[in-house]
Amino acid sequence: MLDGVISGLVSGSAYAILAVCVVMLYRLVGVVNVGQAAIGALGAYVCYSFVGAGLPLGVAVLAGLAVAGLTAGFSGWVLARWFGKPSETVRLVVSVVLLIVILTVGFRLFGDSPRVMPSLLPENSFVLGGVRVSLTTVVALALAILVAVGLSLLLRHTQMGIRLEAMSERPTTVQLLGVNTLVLAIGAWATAGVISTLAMLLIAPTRNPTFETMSFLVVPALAAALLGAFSNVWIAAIAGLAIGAIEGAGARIDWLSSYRGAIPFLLVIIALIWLRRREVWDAAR
Amino acid sequence: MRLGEAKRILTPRRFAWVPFVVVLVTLGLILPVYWVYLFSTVAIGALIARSIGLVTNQAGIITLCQMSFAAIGGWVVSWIALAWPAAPFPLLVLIGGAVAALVGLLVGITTARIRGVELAVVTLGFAAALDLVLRQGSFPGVGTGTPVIPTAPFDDPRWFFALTWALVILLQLGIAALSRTAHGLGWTVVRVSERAAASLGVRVGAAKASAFALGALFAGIAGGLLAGQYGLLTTAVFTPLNSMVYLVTAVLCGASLFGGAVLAGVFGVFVPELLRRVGLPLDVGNALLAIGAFDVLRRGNGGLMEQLNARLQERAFRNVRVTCELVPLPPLEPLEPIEPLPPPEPSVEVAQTSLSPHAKGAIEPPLLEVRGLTIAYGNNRALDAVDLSVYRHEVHALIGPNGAGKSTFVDALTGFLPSYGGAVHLDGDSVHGLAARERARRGIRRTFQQVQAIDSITVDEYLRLAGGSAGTERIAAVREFLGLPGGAVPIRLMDIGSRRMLEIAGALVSRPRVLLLDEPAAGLAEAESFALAERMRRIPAEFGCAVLLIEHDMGFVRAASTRATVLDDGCLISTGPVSEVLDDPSVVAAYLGQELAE
Amino acid sequence: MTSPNSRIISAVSLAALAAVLLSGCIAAAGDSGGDADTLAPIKVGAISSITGPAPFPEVPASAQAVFDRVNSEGGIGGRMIEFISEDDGADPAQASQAARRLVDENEVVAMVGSASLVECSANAAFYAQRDIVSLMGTGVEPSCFESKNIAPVNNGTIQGYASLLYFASEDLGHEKVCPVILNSAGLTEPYLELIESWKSETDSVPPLVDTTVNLGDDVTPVLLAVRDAGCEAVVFNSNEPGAVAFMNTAKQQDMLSGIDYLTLTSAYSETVVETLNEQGTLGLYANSEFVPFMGDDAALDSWRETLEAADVPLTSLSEGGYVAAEILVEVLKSIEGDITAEAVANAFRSYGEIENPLLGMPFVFDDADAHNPNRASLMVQATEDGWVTASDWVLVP
Repeated sequence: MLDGVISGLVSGSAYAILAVCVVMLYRLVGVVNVGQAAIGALGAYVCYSFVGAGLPLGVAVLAGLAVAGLTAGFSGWVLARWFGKPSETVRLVVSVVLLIVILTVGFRLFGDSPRVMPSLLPENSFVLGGVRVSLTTVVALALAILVAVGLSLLLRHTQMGIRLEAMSERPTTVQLLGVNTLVLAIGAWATAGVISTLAMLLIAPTRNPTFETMSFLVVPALAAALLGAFSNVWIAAIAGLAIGAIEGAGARIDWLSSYRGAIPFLLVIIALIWLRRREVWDAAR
Repeated sequence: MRLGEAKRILTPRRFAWVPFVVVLVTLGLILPVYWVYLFSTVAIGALIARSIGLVTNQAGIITLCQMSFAAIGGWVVSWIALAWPAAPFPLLVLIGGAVAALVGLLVGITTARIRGVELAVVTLGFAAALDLVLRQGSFPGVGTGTPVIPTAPFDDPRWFFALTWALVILLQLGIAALSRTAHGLGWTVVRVSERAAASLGVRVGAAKASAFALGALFAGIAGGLLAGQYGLLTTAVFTPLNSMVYLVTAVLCGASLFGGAVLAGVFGVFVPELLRRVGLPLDVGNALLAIGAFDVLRRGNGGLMEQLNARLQERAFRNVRVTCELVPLPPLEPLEPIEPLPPPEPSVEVAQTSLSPHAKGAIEPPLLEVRGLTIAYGNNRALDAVDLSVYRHEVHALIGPNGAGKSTFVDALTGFLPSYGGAVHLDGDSVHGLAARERARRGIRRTFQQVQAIDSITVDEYLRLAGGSAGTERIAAVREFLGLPGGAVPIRLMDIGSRRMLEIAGALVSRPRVLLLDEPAAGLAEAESFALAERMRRIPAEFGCAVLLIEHDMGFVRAASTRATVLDDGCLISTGPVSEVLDDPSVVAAYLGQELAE
Repeated sequence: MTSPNSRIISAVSLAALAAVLLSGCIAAAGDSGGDADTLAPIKVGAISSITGPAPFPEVPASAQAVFDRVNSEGGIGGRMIEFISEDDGADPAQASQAARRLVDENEVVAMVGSASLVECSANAAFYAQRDIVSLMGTGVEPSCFESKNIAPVNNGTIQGYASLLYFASEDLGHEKVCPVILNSAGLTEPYLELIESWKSETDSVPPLVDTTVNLGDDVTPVLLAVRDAGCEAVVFNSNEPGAVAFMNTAKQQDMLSGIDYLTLTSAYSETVVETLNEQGTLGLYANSEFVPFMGDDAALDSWRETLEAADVPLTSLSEGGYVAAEILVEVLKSIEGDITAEAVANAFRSYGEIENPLLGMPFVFDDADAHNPNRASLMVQATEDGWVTASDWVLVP
C-alpha cells in the first residue's frame, strides 16, 4: 500500500500545483481556468519538440516556459480587454473556449503520438522504507509545497498580493486607485502558465501522456481546488496530493483499481454536499 | 388589451410548425440518402443542443456532462437491443432516455445546494469519472461485434430520419409547454438569482433537479438514437471534450430556442462538410465554433438565434407601450395612524375590541411582529434589538441613513440570513426556522433593491410565476392598478422603473399578507414617484395586505405611509406616526448631523 | 420559448435549409453524372485519422502510392483507380459521415487502406448493411477484427500480443511469463480471453496477470508487482511512447537484468530504438506484423521503391497501407465484368488465399463473421545496432 501511495505522489504533486494555480487565478482574476493544464501541456510539448529537434534540455525547457507564459498572458489580456465585468458563468465558458482552442492547436502542432519525454532530473532514486522513491517525486513534492507557500505569502503579506486580491473583487475601484489591473491580470495568468508547465514537465516522463490526456489532468486538480472552495490554497494543495495518493494506493486494490479514477469525484461530491448543507444565498441583493 | 397586441398574441406557434414539418417531410422523401443521413444527424445534434439550452441557457446551470447522459442512453439501448433484439427501436430509445433522466434527477438532487462555477466543475468531474468507468469495458455488443440494428422500418435511412425529427419536435413541444407553466418559468428565475427565486416562492432545488432530469432525458434519447446510427458505440462518441464542444456550440447558437438548437445541429454537421469542400483540415472546426462562442459571449446579447429573436421582438413591439403608466388618482382622505398595542404583560389582560381597525385608536394584534431582532457579526452589530410592528391595514415606512441596517432587516425577515436573534411572528405564528421560500409562501413577499425581474420572459409569464399557487385571479386588477404594459410584452424591453413596478405587481398577485418593498421609488421621476406613493397608500385597502416600505424620499414616505420607524446604525431611534417621526430632532440629527438638529 | 414572430424565424430556417438542399442536389447530380462508361475510374475510399490526437497519415498515403504506380502502368483493364481518402479526426461522427459520403455519394466499390481509431465501431454495421468490403491498412479497435465486412491486414493488438506470449514461452523458453495489460477501452476482456487460451495451449502458469493500470498512467505499481512475483518475462501492451516510459520505469526500479520485456509492434520504430539506446534500456522485444521494415529482406525492395517515389515515410504502418492496396489490386484484376461493390465483395469471398511477400502467412477474406487474417509475427529486438530480427515467423494457433 505504501509504495502505491508514494508512487502516486508525483501525480499528486502535479495535481496540487495545478490546483494552486487554479485557485490563484480564481482569487486574482475570478476565472476558474479549465484550460490550466492545457497551457502547461502546450509548454511541455514545445519543450519536448525542441528536445526532439536537438536543442539541449535546458534551452528547451526555457522555451517551453516562455511559450506557456506568453500564451497564458495573451489569454489574460484577451479576457481583460474584451470583457467588461463578465459573470462567473461567462468566464467559465470562456475558459472552456480556451481549452478547446489550445487542444486544437496542440493536436495540429504535436499530433504525432511518439514523443520522447526526457525527465528534467537525473534518474536517481533511493530506497525509503522498502519503497523506491525517485528524485522526481521529491522534487515534485517540494515544488508543490513551495508554490503553495509562495502564493499564500504573496497574497497575504505583500502589497502586490493585496492589490491583486482587491482587483478581483472590485476591479473598477482598484483601477481608480491608479493600479494597472491589466498588467496585474496578465502577470497572474502568465505566472500560472509557467508554473503549470513545470508541473507537466515533472509528471510527463512518468506517464507519457498524449496532449489530450495531459490537458485533462486538470480535472483532478479542479476537484482539489473545489474542495478548498476555490479560495483556500492549502486545502487545494493537500487535496491534490491526497487525490494522487489515493489513485496510487487504489491501484493495488483489485476490486477498486479499475474504477479508482472516479474516486476523487465521489469524494468531492460527498465533501461538497456536507460543506454546503446549510442554505447560503448568492451575494446579489 | 389593444387590438394590436391581440393580433400578436394570436400568432400561434402551431402555424409555424406546419410549414416546418412539411419541408422536413419533403426533404426526407426527395433528398439523396447521404443528405437524409446528414439531416438525421442534424436532428440528433439539435436534441443535444436543446438539452444544453434547457439546462444552461434557461436554468443557468453550466453543464459539462450532457454527453455522459447521452452515453447512458446509448448504453441502455445497446444493452436492451442485445438482450431483446425484437424490441421496437423507438421504445428502446425512450427507455434509454428515461434511464438517463433518472440519473440526471439524481445528479440534480445531490447537487441542490451547489451552484455556479462549483456546480459546473462537479458536472465536469462527473463526465470524467463516467468516461473512465466506461473505458474499463466496452459498450454492449462491441465485444462480440454485434451492432445495434434498429428494428424495421427504422433501419431504412428515411424512416430513421423521420424518427429523429419526430422525437425532436415532440420533445420541443413538450418543453415549450412546460416552460410556460409556473414550474418551467421557475427555471428562468433560478438562472437570474436563486435569491429572487426563493422570494417568489419557487422551490429552487426542485427547479434545478427537474432541469437536470429533463436535460438528461433529451441527451439520453439522443444517445439512444446514436446507438441506432452507429451500431457500435465507443467512449470516443461521448467524451467530456465533446460535451464541451456542444456547450460552446449551444452558447453560440442560442439553444434555448428551438431554432437555435437546430442551428447548432446544422453547424455540427455542416461546418466539417464546408471545411472539407474548401480543403481546410477538420480539426479547425471545433476551434471555429469555440471562437464563435467567444465572440457571442463578448457581445453579451445571447446566441445567434437569441439575438435574432430579440431583434424581432423589438420590431414587433416598436409601437406598443412597454412602460408602466401611472395615471394620477383622485386624492384620498388621510388615514389615521393606528395606535400600537402596549407590549404584552402576563398580568394584564389584553383588551379585546370589536372596533373596526380603521377607527381611531384601534387595538388589534399586529400582522407582522418583530421583537428584539439582533444580528451581530462578531462585535459589529448590524441590528441591535429592534422592535417593529406592522398592522394589518397600514403602510409602514422603515427609514434611516445609509448603512442603518434596513435591508439587513428585510433580509432577516424574509429568511435570507442564516441566523438572527429575536423573534418574528406573522399573524401570531412564529416564522423561526422557516426557509426563505417557505416564508414567501406564507405570505411575506419582498422586492429587491436591485431589480430582479427576469429578462427572458414576458409580463404575463412573470405575473403567473409570481402568482404561483394563488393563481391568476388578481392579474387583471393588479395590471390596472399599476398601469402595466400588455401581457405579451417581453420584460427585456422595459425600463428599470417599469420593471420595479412589475416586481411589485408580481408580489401583489401572489396574495401576500405583508409586502416588504425595498426602495420602490428609486429611479422614478417626480410625477411618477408621487403617483406610485398614492397607489401605495391604497394597497392595504384594495389588496388586503400590509406594506413595509424602505425609502429615502421623504416626500414619498409622507404621501404613502401612515407610520414610520427609524433605524440608525442598527438601533431603533424612533417610531410612530409619520409626521411626528419626521419632525423628531433625533431623526433629523441621524440624517443630517448633530449641529443642524440643534 | 415565446417568440411572437416564430413564423419569421422558421421562414429564415426554411430558406437556409432550401439553400443547403439546392447545393446538395447539385453536388449529388454532379457526382452521379458519370454513367456506366467502362473507362470511368474505379473508385475506392479510405477513412483514416489524419488529424486528431494520434494521426496515421502514412497508411492511406502508401495506398495512394500503390495506386499511383498502378495507374502509371495502365490501370486495371484500362481504368484508372481513383482513391478518395477521407479524414475523420478520430471523431466517430466524422467517420460515420465520411463513410456515408464515400459509399452513398461517391459510390466507391471498396474501402482500402483505412487506419483509424474510431471508424470500425462507427461504420461496421453500415458496411455490413451495404455489403461493402473494407480492407484496412491498420486496424486498431477490437471492432475492426469482429466485423463481417472489415478485414485488416495487420495482426491487431490481440493477435500481436498472442504472438509475443507464444514467443516468450515457446521460443525463449521462459516458464514464468507475466502478461501485463494496460487497460484501454474494451480491450481488457479480449486480452484475458486470449491469455486463457494461451495458458491451455502451452500449459503455462503465469505467476502474475496484472490489469491494474490504465494505458497512460504511471506503471510503477505494475513493476513492483512484477518484482514481487518473480517474473522472467513481461509481456505488455503499449503505444509507442508508453513502451519507452515502461522501460524507463523498469530501469528506475532496477529491474532490467534477468527479465525479458516484450511489447507490441507500435514500439517498432526508429525513434524508440534511439531513445532506448540513450536511456540505456535496450533488450526490448517487439513484434513486427509484416516483414521487418528496417531489415534487408528483398521483399522490401518494391515497397521501398514505391513509397520513396511518392515521398511517403517508411514505417511499419506504411507497410500496412501498401499491403492492403496490393491485395486489392490483385483481386480487382481478377474480376471479369462490371466492377461494382457487390462484385468486389464476391471476388474477395471466393478468392481463397492471397500471397504477399510482406506477409508471414497467406491472406484470406472468406465468408466468416469476423476477420483477423494476419496472425503471424516476426520478433525484433532493440540492440545497439538498432532493431535486429530475433526470430522466424511466429504463427498464433
